[in-house]
Amino acid sequence: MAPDSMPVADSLDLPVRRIAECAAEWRDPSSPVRAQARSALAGGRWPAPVVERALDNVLFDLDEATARAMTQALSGRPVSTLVILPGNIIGPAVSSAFCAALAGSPVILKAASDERHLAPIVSAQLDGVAGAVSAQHWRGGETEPEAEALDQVERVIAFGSDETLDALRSRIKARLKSGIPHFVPYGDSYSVGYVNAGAELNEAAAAAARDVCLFDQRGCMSPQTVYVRGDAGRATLFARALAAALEREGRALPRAALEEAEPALIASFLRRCAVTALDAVPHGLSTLLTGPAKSGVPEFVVVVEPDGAPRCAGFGRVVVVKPCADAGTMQRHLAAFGRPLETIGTAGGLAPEERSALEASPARRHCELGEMQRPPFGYRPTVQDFCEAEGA
Amino acid sequence: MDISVSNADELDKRIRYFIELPSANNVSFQRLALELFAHQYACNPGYRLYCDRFGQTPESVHGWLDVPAIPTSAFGLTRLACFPAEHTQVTFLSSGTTGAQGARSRHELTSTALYDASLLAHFRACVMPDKTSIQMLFLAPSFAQAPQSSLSYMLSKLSQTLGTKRDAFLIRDDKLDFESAAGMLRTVAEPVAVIGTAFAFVHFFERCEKEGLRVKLPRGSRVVETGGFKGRSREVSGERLYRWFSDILGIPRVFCVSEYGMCELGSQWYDANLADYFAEREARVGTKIGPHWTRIAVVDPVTGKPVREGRQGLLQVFDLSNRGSVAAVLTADVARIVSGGFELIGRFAGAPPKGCSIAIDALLEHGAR
Repeated sequence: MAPDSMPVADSLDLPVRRIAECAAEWRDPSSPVRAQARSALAGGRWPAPVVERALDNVLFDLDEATARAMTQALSGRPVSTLVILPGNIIGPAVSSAFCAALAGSPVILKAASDERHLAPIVSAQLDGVAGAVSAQHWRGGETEPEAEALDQVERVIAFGSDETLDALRSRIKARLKSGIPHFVPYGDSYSVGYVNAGAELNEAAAAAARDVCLFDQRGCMSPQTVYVRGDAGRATLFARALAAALEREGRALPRAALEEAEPALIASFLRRCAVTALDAVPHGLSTLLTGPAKSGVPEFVVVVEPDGAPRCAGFGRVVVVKPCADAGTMQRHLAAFGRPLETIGTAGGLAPEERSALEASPARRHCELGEMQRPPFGYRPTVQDFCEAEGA
Repeated sequence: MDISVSNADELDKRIRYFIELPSANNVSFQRLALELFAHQYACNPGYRLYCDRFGQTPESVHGWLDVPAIPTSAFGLTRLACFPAEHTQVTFLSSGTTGAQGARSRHELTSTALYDASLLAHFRACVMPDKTSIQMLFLAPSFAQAPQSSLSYMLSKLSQTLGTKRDAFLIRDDKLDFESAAGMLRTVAEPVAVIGTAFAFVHFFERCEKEGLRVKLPRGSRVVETGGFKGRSREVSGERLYRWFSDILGIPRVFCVSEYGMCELGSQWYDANLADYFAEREARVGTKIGPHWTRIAVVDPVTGKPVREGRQGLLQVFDLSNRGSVAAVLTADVARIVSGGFELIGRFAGAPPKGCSIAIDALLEHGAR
């Protein structure tokens, strides 16, 4: 057994270079693995341009140097892990498999019914390269295959709604010998944008539109509310720019086919927005902007509301824009809202005091608007998630 | 149609007169509805803004069904009143919030005159077509105990106007006084009306089962169940509840009536069966009927247009008694039109698409009492 102080990568002699080469294949649109993924996902929920953008993003920054640095920073031994994957977005199967590979952790990828294609592809790609990546699928509620998988692992990393994760936690509590500390949940959260005073509104809007359109706001890294520093007039100008950008971006990244309940929910949300939208007087510009109708409901909705708590639609390309005095004001709203905050995407340079205000917010991540849907590799899950924590 | 903006007092008088008519034709309803819309558009800033967003004004609307219906949730999002806040005499609040971003609905009144006229007339028609007064036992708090509850207001008003000196409110300080309730039910000699929320009845009957209490209330006694369960944890089926009415209180199904109402509306709807029974018609069990100063439609949740008869959709209401707020209200309840009324199917439970982003606003459509 390797001494505790020895880095995991050295101790296991991981083929980091080969893993980085495999990652590069995911970035190359003409690679066989991309072709395979493209073909498997064709005709599914997500339109082809969305699939391509998601695959471009998934390992965009995983080069050999990054991979080596990550493995050298690991501590603790790798642990056999079950990853319960989400079905709402494309990518977690690939990033999870590469995290496990770098950690040297044997992993079972349990694919969701809504996205069950990438897990077997990445499993086959990494076969013989690093560790053991196996892909499985069973339907939610099937306890027998889940119990069999749990018997083989020491740790569970799970994505999903808080409700799903709570149910899973209670099921595994009795099974995992090491108990709940080896359950790593990634549950519900939300993200917001912040457009600072110095931001050029059209550029900021184009960036926000990219974050909104990828995955139609079903992911926790989509901006649900965008705070615009300044008065209601500036927020309204941003909203108009955002509506124009959403229309353009919508041509590049079409909205996915709506689920059964979605049109009614969007219509319901739109009616609520008609009540909550700021009065257009005196600037005369509309504060409730909708995209062209598709499947009976607008392709997007942008509503300008008074400064206050964030509002989350969670689907449907519905964006709430709010004026706010400064980053500190926004931070207070977010803190008072109380729900887990994932990412704040900002546009416009931040003064030091603004930066400190944002850093005081409970967000897990800060990035630029336009980059919200492209977290760095190893962000969620982390490579360390696949190793026993120090002292554990 | 040329509709002038009527003075509030004048409009109140005319609506009151309309309510007191034994019945009314569609033409006079339509005219009053359009006058009311013109008044509310002119005097209710929050509602006018809503109408403007959909491009609807008194000039563009030609019938009650075209009047923009505001979602019940809007009563918790903005002030919806045709008068300044300092003129508010009574404020009803809905029973609770439905999420982190949900606010309790507020319904403000300058006077309860229309509210009273509406609730009494239709209660008489649906629950007491055979009587001028009846002893009432309430499994609910009185208005003194719950001064912001429209239900408690309604029950207190019923007791004052149609009840007897022996009436009793059996929930005090949020607790059911089981002993008093049991004692009264064992000893009543005349027909009695037992009125309460479904949730309170469940608590009461579970205790009755535990204590072995069963009574046979005097013939002509009746039950009015109101309020549903509103997502409470101890939900039971309607079928079980009605079996309890029969098994524990000895009240036959045709004498059991379910009420539909909410804090945002001045009028109520009741099951038709008891009125049908006394009118010697075939009893329509489970069909809710409204008074002649209201109209209902079942609409597609996406388009807001009426669905074909018999199809399910969201219940939309036009209620003349809501003079001081908004008459056209879109509820979050799923219903379908049936013979002369509607059948309530349940709450609009649109499960949001699967995702890890918090998706709560869409679930906040509520219309709780």
